[in-house]
This record gives sequence, C-alpha cells and structure tokens, in this order.
Amino acid sequence: MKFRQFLKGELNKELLLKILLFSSAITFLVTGLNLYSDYRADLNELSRTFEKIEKSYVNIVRQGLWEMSPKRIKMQLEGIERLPDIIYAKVEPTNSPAISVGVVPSSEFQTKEYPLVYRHKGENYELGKLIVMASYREIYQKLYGRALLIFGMQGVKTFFVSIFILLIVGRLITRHLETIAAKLKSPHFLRSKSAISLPGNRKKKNELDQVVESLNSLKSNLQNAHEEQENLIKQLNRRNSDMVEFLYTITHDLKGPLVSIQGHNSLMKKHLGNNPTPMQQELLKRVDRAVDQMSDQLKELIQLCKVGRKEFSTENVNVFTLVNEVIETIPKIPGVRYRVSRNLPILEADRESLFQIFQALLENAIKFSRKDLSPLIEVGCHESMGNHIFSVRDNGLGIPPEYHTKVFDIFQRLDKNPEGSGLGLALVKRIVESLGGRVWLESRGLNKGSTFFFTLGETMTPVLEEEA
Amino acid sequence: MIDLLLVEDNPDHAWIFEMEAQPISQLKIRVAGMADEMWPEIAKGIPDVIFLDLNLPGASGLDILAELKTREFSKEIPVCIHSSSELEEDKRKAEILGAVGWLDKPISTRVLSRNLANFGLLKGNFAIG
Repeated sequence: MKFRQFLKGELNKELLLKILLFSSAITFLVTGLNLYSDYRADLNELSRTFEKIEKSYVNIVRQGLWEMSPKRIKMQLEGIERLPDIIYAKVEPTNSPAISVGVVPSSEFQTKEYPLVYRHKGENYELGKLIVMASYREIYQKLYGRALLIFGMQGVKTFFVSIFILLIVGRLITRHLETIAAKLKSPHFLRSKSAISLPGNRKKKNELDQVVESLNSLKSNLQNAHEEQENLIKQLNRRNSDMVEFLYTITHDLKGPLVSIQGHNSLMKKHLGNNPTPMQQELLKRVDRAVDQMSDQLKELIQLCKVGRKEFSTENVNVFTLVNEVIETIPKIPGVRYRVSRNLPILEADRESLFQIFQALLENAIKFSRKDLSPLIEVGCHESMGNHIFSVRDNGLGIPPEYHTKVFDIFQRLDKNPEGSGLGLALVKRIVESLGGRVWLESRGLNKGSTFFFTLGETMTPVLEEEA
Repeated sequence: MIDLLLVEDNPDHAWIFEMEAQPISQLKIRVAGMADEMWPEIAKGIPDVIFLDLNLPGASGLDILAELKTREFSKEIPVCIHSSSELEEDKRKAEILGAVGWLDKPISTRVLSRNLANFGLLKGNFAIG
C-alpha cells in the first residue's frame, strides 16, 4: 500500500493530527521542565562560583592589597576571571587606582561586590572592594542549544512514530475498513453469494473479524428475508390473479340466471297482454329495476377484473377529443353542463383505460350532483414536474374529508342511493394504479363540490414533449 | 320456413329464445345444448342461420365459430352470436372470425325479427304476435 494512500483516509488524517498535537504538547512540557532544571543548576553553579571567590580569592586579594602588591592582586584577578561565567574582575582600593581584568559585559550580567576589610591588631581597615561580574550569556546559549537539540530530536522521533503508527493502523485497520466499505457499497453485495473476507493471514481473530462475521451473518439474514419476501410477493400475486380469475368466472356465471330473470320478466309482460293490473305493472317494473341494477354491478365488476388481466397498449391519444367522446356516451340529463379545457394534451397512452377513467369520473360527478343546482362538470389538466395532472371538478354534493380515501374502496358508497354500483371509483383507482399513477380528491365538504385528480404512470409520455 | 339452429346450454335461455321467437311464424327452431350436439344437427340438415352462445360447456363459442368457418359444409352458414358477454374483445374477435351479428341476451321478438330481416332471411311482412 502506498504511503500517500494513508494520508488520504479521513481516519488517518485525524489520527496523524492527534498524534502530532499530543506529542507536541508532551514535548513542550517535558522540554520546558528539563530546561528549567538545567537553568536552575547553572544558576546554582554560578552562586557556588561566587562562594568559591569569597572563600579562596577574597583573602588573598585582601592580603595583596595590604601588602601593596599589585602584581599579586592582578594574578588573583586573572585567576578569578578564568572561573566559569566570570568575565570581569576589578579591585577598587580606597586610595590607589583600580586594577581590572576582563571586559565589562554590556547586558545579561550579574555583579557581585566583596568589601575588602583587613583586621589588624583589633582594628578594621577598609582597604577597598572587589567587584566581580558574571555573564549569563553562556548559560543562555547553552540553554538555547539544549532546547534546539531536544526539539529536533523530539520532532524526528514524532515523525517516525507517526509514520509507524499510520503504517500499523493502515495495515491492521484502515485497509480492512476500506475493503469492507467497498464490499458493502457494491450494488451487487446483497445479491451475490460471496461473503466479505479480509486479506492476509487471519488466524488470530480480532475485533475486525468479529465485525466482518456479524456483517456476513447480517447479509445472509437479509438475503433470506429478501427471498422470503419475494416468495410471498409471488404467492400474493398468484393468489391475487387467482382471485381475479375466480371473481371473473363468478361474475360471468351470475349473468346467466340474471339474463333468465330478465327474459322471463319480459315474457311475463307479454303474457299479461294489454291490460295488466297496476300491481302487475309495478311488480314487472321493480323486477326490471333490480335486474338492471345487478346487471350494472356485474358489468363494472367485470371491468374491474379486466384491469387485472389486461395488458396495456399505447397509442397517441388526443385527450380533448377523448373526453368529448366520453361525454357522448353518458345519458343526457337536462341541465348538465360540461366545460372541457383546451389544455388537455395529446399523449401516448392506453386509450381504453383513459376512456374508462373519464367515464367513471364523469358518471360519478353526475350521480352525486345537487338537486337544487344544475350540475357543472369541468375537465382540466395542468402540469407539475413533467407530470400531467388531470382533474374532474363538479359543483355537487361534496365529500367529507374522512371519506377521501374510502370512496375509492370497492363497493363503498356514501349514501343510500340505490343508483350506481359503488364500483366506479374503485375501477378508476385500479386502472390508474395499474398504470403507475395516482388518484385523489379534494373537497371542501358537504354541498361544496369535489375535484378528482389523477396522474398517469411513466408508460404515458407526452407526445408533445418528445417533439419539442 | 327459416331453419334456425340455436346453440345454447342454458335451458332457461333456450326456452326464453323459443318463446320470443314463437310469434315469428316463418321460424323453425332447433336447439343444440353444446358443440357435440350441434354437429349432428348440422349433419341432419344445413340450417339457414346459427345462433351461438359464447360460454358453452367444454368449448368457447368463439372456437366453435372458428371451426364452423373453416369446415367446407358449414362455412357459408351465417352465424350470429347470442351472448350476455360485455367484453369488447369478444365482440371484436367474433367480428374478425366472421359472425354476421351480435345479439345481447335476452332477446326480444322485435330485435330477433329485425335482425333476421337484416341477415336477408325474413322478407316482406311477417306476423309479430
């Protein structure tokens, strides 16, 4: 693995930064303490030098001064000046010129004065004073050199330790984490049979191996669950299509007896001749009405079943024309007005489905119109995020919010009106959803009218957009 | 006399058909309950017209229609579908297979006589009871 790669990983970057910060802090602290104790030692050394001067040199200088021997004094001063850190020594006699050795320092120095008192026959004679100057320069220079050395060494050490740690972490952890992440990210991971495995000799199991083991078992659990789910879906689909098939057969079988009742009833009408009693007439009418109602329900049930069986085809459909054709099929009721928007698009769609959707929605709008208001039904379309949203608005009875999803349920009716099968909206929902679209409604409540909206799935791409 | 062969498995429907057809005096009706009974009836005498139900035991009316139209001796016989099916595709298939018409169940005397006239079988005035 290349070194650069280590530095790329976020984990490594963070690790490196933390190591450097921590190591630097420790280095500063330790070096500071170290240098401080060195400094103290140097200062102690200096004060020992001053003591030494007091003990051994002061007496000789005093003696020399008493004996008036400048030569001897000078020799002693030269001796003092050679002591560590001392760079200047001077004797200032009370009544003769001063004798000095060395150079007076300009800065960073300490001066020490020793009075030269000679005791003779019980009397003290002030002979002068000895002035010694010590320079800190050397001490400071030593400290600087020390500091540089320590920092340099610590820096080099930190550098190598960091690289070593990065290498170790990279080898032990990061590269494995990357392997795991890459495997998990792969889109085929859940589908593939192969488990995650880490490269290298993994005889000793560490925490990473445990993670990998857990991930692998998680994966196989997921796969099992997924498989189970797929099977369930398949089973459900099969059951569902069986049910649809069954419903279709039953619906068709129910038609036989219904046709018989219808036929018998009209034969009965004929048999009664020209003068049926009012009761007979009423009974015939009621049977006919019941038969018609059931016939409508069966018709819609069959349509509902067909949605599940049908395969959709696509063709160019002019929705404006189609809606007008739908309106033609709806029984004329005086007072009903339609307003069909010119915005209706031309699209590639399954014509029959679209026809059935509009038919059911328009019939629904008429069925639930208000008695006191002439029905106005508006069909429109607007676009939202590339999707056509069709709408059928009425000024009818309206639907309370709690029924806004219920109305699309099979056989759900909101009133006791015997007209209609309760299948129309269920049919709309089924068709729209099998096309991949959505149907919903808005209504402000009772007598406020309602608007049904629906979208179509991706199978219905607008023709105009393709041309543009 | 018009020789009409009704292929119908539901006895009620057959009975209703016969009752509704009764007033048309020129009509003679034979009933076959299923395909297996239809062929012998045709063998007895080629009918002028066949009224065929779509849901028959063992075979679909559309298959029977196709077979009628392929056999040499029967392909000229006009076949009218008589069904309660609401499926548009059934109607389309019947037309493609060569049915002359489609009459919804239950039939009425009026509709039957009008269609027989359309098929060119009933001419002039006929009695409707």
